[in-house]
Formats: sequence, C-alpha cells, structure tokens
Amino acid sequence: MIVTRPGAYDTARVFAAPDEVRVALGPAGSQAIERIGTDGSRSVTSQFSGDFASWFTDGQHFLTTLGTTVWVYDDAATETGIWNLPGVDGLTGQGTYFWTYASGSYPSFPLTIYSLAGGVPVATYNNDVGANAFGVGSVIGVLEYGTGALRLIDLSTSTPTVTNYQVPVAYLQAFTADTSGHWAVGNEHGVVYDSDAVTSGLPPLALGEAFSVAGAPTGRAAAATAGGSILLFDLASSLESTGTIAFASSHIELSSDGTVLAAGGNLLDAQYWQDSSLHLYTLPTGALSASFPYSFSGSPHFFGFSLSGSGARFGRITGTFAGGWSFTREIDDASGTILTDTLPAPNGFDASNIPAILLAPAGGGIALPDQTRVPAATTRIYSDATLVSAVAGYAVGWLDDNLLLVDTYALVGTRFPVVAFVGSRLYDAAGNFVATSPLPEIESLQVVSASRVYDRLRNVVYDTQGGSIVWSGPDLSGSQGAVAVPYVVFPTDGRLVAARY
Amino acid sequence: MRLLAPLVASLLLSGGPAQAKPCHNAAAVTETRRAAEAQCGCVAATLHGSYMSCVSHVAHDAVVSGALRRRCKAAVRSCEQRSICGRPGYVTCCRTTAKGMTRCAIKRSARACLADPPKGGQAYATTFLSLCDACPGGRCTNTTTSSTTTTITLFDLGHTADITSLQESDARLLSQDRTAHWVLWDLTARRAVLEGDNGQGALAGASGRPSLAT
Repeated sequence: MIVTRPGAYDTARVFAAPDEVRVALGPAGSQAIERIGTDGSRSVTSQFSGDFASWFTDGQHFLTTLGTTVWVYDDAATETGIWNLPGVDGLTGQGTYFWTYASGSYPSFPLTIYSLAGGVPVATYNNDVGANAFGVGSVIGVLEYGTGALRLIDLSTSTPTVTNYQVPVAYLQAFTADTSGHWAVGNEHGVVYDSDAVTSGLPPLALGEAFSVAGAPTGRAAAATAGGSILLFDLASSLESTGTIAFASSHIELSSDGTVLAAGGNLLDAQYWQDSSLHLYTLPTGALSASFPYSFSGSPHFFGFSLSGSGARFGRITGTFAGGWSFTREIDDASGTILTDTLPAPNGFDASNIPAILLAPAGGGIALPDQTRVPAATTRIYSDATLVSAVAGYAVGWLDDNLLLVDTYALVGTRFPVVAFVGSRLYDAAGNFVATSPLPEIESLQVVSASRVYDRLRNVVYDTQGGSIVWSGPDLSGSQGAVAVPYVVFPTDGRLVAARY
Repeated sequence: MRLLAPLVASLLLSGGPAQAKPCHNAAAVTETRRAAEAQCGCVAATLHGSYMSCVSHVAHDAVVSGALRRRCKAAVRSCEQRSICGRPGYVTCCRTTAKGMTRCAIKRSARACLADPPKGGQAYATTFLSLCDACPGGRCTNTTTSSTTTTITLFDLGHTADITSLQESDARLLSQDRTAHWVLWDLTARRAVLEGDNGQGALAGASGRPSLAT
C-alpha cells in the first residue's frame, strides 16, 4: 500500500497521473479537485465554476458544466475556456478537442467535436441508435450497435479525419487504441479483433465463446467459435487442432464416424449476421460438400437442423412469416427430400423453441414432436417417409436405431400448477412401449454408446440402464459440450478442454 | 436472509440441438430476475400466479428496453416459476444422497423438507428463493466428481464472456471480460503471453483508459 485516505470516495471520478491521483466529485466536492500524491501529500484546488463533468482522457484538462454552459480547465484547475453548447450529453475530451455525444437525440444521435481553441464545432458525425463512443489516445472509436461497424475519428490532425472499418463479428462493445493508431475491439461473445487482423485478414486474437461443440465416437471433434472459425480435432491421434473451417456457425454436428460435419450459420447474432446457411463439410479435408443458403433478411428463415449418425440424412427447420409464423421440417438425403412436415404456429408460439427433428443413427427412423415440452406434446414416428406410430411425450433422441427416448410432462400442483417433467419412456421404432427410463430430463442429448448418453447442458454422462451419473464435469454456464470418445470436450474458463470420462 | 437471484447459468438454454437460440447472457437474466423479485414483491407476494404475471411484465419491459435478449426471457420466467415467490411458507429444499448427489425441489415447509432425508444423506432447506439458484436445473451434479475432473487444454479461446475493457501500449494489449478473466497479448507475435482471473488491471503506459460516452 502506497497511500490510503479515508473519506467519501465512492462516487469520485479519479484520474491516475504518474505521481498523483486527481480526485473529482470526492470529499472536496463538485467544484474542486483533490490531488493526492504518491508520497502522501494532499492538496485541493481553488473552487472552479460549474460542476465537474469529466476528465479529458489524457488527464490534461477537465470539463465542468452549469446547464449547457461548459468550462474547460487545465490540470491545475486554471480556466482555459467557456462556451455555451447546444447540449452537454456525453461531454468529454482529449488533447486539443472536446466533444458531446447526444446518444438519446433521435434520429441523428450526433457526435459533435469542438476545438479547444475556439470552442466551435469542427465536425459533427451522425450515428444510429445504440452506438458507443470511446475516446482514447488521439482517436475516438465509435462502435455502431450490433453491426460490427467501427468509425475511427483521428484527432491528431488539424481537422478530424474519419476512417470506417467493418469488423467481421457483431455486437462490438469495447475499444482501445495506442498512440501509433493501432486499435482493437472486443465483442459481447469474447472475440477480440485488432486493426492488423481486420486490415490483413488475420484471425482474431481471441476467438471467443465456443457456440457449439460436436464430437464423434471416433474421437473427432469440432468447435464453432464466436470468432467465425470452426476448430477441428482428431483426438484419437492428437490433442492439437488439425485445422479450421472459416464459417460463422452457432450449431454444428458430426456424423458418428466423424467424416461429415454439418454447420448452421450464426443464429445467435441473427439480427446483425446475415448468413444463416447450412453447410455440410467432408472431414478431414474440410471440403464443402453441400450448401443450403439462407439469410436473416431472406425467406424462409433457417431455424435449425439435425444430422443423422450416418451423416447421410439431415433435417432442416425453416419458418415463414405471413402475419404469423409457420414452420417446415424437411428431411433430406442425397436423393433429395424424403419427408416434409409443416408445423403451424399456435398463438404465442415462441420461435426460439421449435420442436426438433430427431433422426435415428442410420437415418431411417424419424421422430417429430408436435409441440414443445408440455403435457399435451406427442411425437410422430416415421420409417423413412412412412408414418408408423405416434406416442405421448416429447422425443429427446434415439439411443439406437430401434430405441427412442421420450420425455413426458404433466401439470403438477393444484393451487399453482406448473409444467413439470414426470419421467422418460423408451419406445421402439414401431412406436411400441419398451420400458420406462431412469434418465432425468435431458434437453440436449448426445448418444455416446448403447449404455451411455451425454447431457450437453449439464456436462454429465449417464448410464442409460440405471440412470446414474458415470461422469460429470464443471458447470458450463449455458454453453454445451460434446463427447469425442474417449474425451468429453467442453469450453470452460476461456479454454476449450478435453477430459477423459 | 433470502438470497436474491445469484448467478444462474444452466437454465439459459431453452431448446435442444435443433433449437439453436440459447440465451448466453447470464448477467442480464440475473439482473432481470433481481428486478422482478424486487418489483413484484417476491417475499411479500401471497399468490404465485399473480407474482408470475408481474414477472412476465418485468421481463417483457426488459426486452423492450434492450436490457434482456428476447431469447433470454424464458430463462427468467423459468427460474421465477420454480421459485417460492408468492408461496408463503414454502422453501427450496435440497436432498444430498450418501453418494454426494444433490437434488432440490420446492417443499411446502421447512418441516416437510427436513422430514424426508435420503438414506445415509441429508435434507436441508436452503436460503434461496428459486431452484435455479439452490441447484442449477434443480438437479445438482456430483460435486465430488466435478472437483476432481482433470482437463487438457485443446485450444485457448482467449475469452468466453463479453469484453468489458481493452488497453493497449507498446505492442501489448490487455483484454478483460465480464468474468474478470484477463489476457495480455503480444501484438507482434499475435499470441497470449499472460492470463489470469479475478483481475482488474491497468496496462502501464496505455494512453488513458478508454472513456465510454453514451
């Protein structure tokens, strides 16, 4: 501890200079600056006009306001200027400029830059709603909400100059720059891009969240990252990544032999990420074998997919909006579409919770729940395109080609009934009841073997016979893992890790 | 004292593999739940149905204001649905088996909770309002097994939560995320040189911490 001072510093705005801290809005009040030296010295400036508003980012000046009157003071609290501005929202400055950002001023949300010399606007930039402006070094970085657009305003010249960049990820929310003009941005999924990567096409520094992880009994694994890369692994031979596929995906699946990778476009950032196509790749080469183009602004919208264990069949869920949503579930193979199922949306239907397509490992068995996890849910069972039966409950997955796991629900309680999981049942491919299952409710299932299933959300491997937990990993905080025998692969603490189960 | 909505994570996915619209913002869910529990009078409420109606309005408002993603609304509702809010006398009750597996449920009273311990295990009433907090998903995993899991790093993703701060100086970049995980990057070699958790750091020589003006 170098120095400590008691007092009401909880609302203080502090600038850290090399040998002192300058405290505004602290015990000295809103019209004086307290200076606390690293040697323990303390002084308070004389009272200034207006109330403290903000420090310049370089600490060489600070701004005070009274109404729309703005004073500029140097670091010794000597007034260097006074002006009346149209508004003082987002007032701050650096170097020889200060600016306001009227982030609530519809429709143009202007960022107005003033010169310290004249106090007159030298530039005004209009923005979309929700933009953030960061002043650092000799630049202001303006991050447009959602889009990945960065406007870089260089204040090192006599007149501010603007350069626009498009960062290839959505939802930017942090910015910095150094004195050389190099800059970096971060987004809400943990991706960090710098100017070298954006201008030279390099990968981001941090790939960010693993949106989806897929695994296969052969040891092959893949992880779709927020940074737009799909990382490939063959854990049977190496723990090093064997390659990457450049595609921004939020959901991937692998065939059982690990030779087919299906990747759906990034739906998590859908409003600001146009490409929601479904791609099929052949591994280990990573060659694109089929593509089904979809985009956020196009119709129909893409909502999800399933891949059979064989990799030969896949299901697509698409939706069309015409006053209300209607959904189509379509199962395809190399010969074309073998089954199409339409799903009209009832009132209040939540498009984020559409009944899934469950494909048996070989692809012949197809289970189509008609509703989400509610007591009235039923599941139709098909053999290829032929409807063979229907059972009560919401199908979770095929444990093998002749064993379908179905969760059932009921309203529990009399005073305040709630929908509750009441058990799971096993049916054969003809829809005949086989047995009750001891497994708990599983929302996202991966079948590991005839006797093992993995709950991707809970990060738990269950024994299908007794329902006991045979392996459990750490909580994934909403992320998902996958089993790539003999490992469980999951994201945790900023890393993609593997654990033997 | 009741604990109001600690971090909830495991209920943030509302669908299976084909329903790729998970909620990835636990902080926003927690904030909205905290707001709902306060505005809707969780502890004082006497009717769970009325309480849930109020929660729905709070969640809706949060979505409209942009504080909560639409796809996260279900996580808020789900956790509050499985709470004791509006259920006077009820408790969140957990039962830990002799093998260390814990499961939680809502019980009519602390007495009812304590009256039914598993053989060789224990039952206890928690101070949490919701099963989401008492035990994520209502089914706790075996913590003994979890704590001994040995992992191998396959790939350093850098961050897996939203970036809250960036500072740069002399070809070094310091990034920090919402979980307080931080990484120091060598911008020349384009690799991480140092990283840690629970940090709130500053990069020496950085040209001022970025100011956010909104």
